[in-house]
Amino acid sequence: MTRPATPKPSGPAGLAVAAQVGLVYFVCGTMGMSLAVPPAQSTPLFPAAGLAVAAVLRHGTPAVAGVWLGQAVMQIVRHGLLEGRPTPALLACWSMLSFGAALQAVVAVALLSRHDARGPHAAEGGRLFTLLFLCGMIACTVSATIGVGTLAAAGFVDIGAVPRAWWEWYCGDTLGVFIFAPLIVLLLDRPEATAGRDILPVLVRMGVLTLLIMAVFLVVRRLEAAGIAARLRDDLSSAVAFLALVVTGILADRDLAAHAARARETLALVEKERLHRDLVIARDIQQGLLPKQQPRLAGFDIAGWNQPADETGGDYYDFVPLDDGRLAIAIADVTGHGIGAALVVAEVRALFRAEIARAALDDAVEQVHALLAPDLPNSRLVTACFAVVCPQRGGLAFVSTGHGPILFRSEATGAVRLLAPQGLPLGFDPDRRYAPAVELPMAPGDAFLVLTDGFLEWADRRGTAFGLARITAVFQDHGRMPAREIIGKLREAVSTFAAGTPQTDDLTAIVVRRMPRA
Amino acid sequence: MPQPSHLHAERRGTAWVLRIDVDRIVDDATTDGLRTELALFIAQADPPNVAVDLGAVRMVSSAGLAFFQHLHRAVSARHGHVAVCRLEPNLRDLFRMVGLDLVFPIFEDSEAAVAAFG
Repeated sequence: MTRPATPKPSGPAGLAVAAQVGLVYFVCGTMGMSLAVPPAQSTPLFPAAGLAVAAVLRHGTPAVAGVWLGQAVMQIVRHGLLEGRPTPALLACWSMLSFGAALQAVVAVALLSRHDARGPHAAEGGRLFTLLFLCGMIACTVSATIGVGTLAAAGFVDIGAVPRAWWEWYCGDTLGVFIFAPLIVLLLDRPEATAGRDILPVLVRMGVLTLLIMAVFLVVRRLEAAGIAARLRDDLSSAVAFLALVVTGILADRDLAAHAARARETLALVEKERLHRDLVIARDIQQGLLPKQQPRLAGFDIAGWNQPADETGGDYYDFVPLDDGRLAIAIADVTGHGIGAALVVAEVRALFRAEIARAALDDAVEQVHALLAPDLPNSRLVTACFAVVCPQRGGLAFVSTGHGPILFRSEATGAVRLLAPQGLPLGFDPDRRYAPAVELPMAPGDAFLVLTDGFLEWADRRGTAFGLARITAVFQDHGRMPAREIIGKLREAVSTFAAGTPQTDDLTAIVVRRMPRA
Repeated sequence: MPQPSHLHAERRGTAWVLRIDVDRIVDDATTDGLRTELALFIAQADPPNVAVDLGAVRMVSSAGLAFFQHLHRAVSARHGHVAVCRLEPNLRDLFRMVGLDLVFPIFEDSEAAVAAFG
């Protein structure tokens, strides 16, 4: 026996129906969304879609309003309360998603009524299922299309992810309609059918279709997960990192959003580790470019020292023995730190070595400047002091390209004086030329000191820099010591002054001291 | 003219006094920030004769030199001139050590610097 179609409520009764449908839709929808996957948060089984069709079939317009309301509340509770105050764009999205859900139920019911003039309430179980199957398959394109289209238009779903998101949304709604719409209709309108043979064809067909669609859904999702894993695996050079990725469960866990977040964190750690490794390699290369031993030059005591602040610094020093028995010296400070500064350091070193081997000091410096300046990016400058120590003449010549401090200590008077540069830092003004090299005769015991500005700037806890006056005082007091010990005294003095504050800039020093008379 | 947060410009006759309100110009971030503000200022400074007041600056590192390079290039490109004033002794030493005094004349105060533009 079939029951006549339920009268459609109106007025206060209609409002009550809308509220009830909205509440049940919200509960069913929230349960279904617990299986949701990104990017569109679509779910493999959405019972609320079936409920919506059954409710609109039974109650008409008030149920349509209830579906809209239930979907809207579900979106607000699911996203709005978690993510703070909703934006107008988000409100528009939620509204469209609710519209899609309600329209889908209306379309499904319209199709059902068109295919069975007696109304679906009158159909026997198998026929009811077939009707819902055919009409559900068509109608469920509505919510998926409106929902995914809206999310894509609002930028919540990438265009490339639209087909998969649409398919997952469609599967979830279709399954919801297949499983729940016939059951609800039978339970509410013909409870006696659920106890008899009438229900069997419905259950069998529902079971087969559910398994089929779930299988397709899971295969697609597994392929997607495997694709993500493969892409990440390709990106990760470290096997350890990949193992960590697997451990995080990207292949096994069902929450892809959580996986993506964990994978991103893992990837960031791997990138950080890779960057650190690159910096360590760069530091090793850079340290390998520094002199391995102090130079030996008749009548002179010469020492150099460098301590970078980071993995790779912007300072370097070099000793280059020349064919005629002289010794070329270079010390430079490239602005900045890291790999960029290290690359410039390597270029300066190579250029100076090449030029000083074939040209006089003045010309070599001009050539270094001419070749280097076009290569320097904006904001990258090089202060340098290039010198040639000549044992035959008992002195040295130097050119400072904006480098300091450069100090000279006279053994005879004990006085220390600051030597001026011959021009601006390399790269500061490509059109400027440098003043001729300064000839600096050295009497026995005289000492020449060049430092980088790391010594000047290293500050104590109050922020007071070590400064030129303290450097001058240390050099004045200890300038009679061997070259290596003078540098040691400067290191000790600046370190004691800093009193544990971190070294923020590279420290580099060269001392050239003419051997005192025995 | 809009006032950037670390550079404060004031018109004085046919020149500008540009006060730098930064304690230390010792890292790339500070230098880049100042360069950005400077670009905004220079684009609107007419005539581009600028007296830079460094009274608030206590320290400039090699990284900070890039700011002065930018200042030099930007003003030169507009055929203007730059002078600096109110340098603390440490900063004055640095300017001489690095050779910046070759391109930026040093004055005791902004009045003297502006007067030098003629």
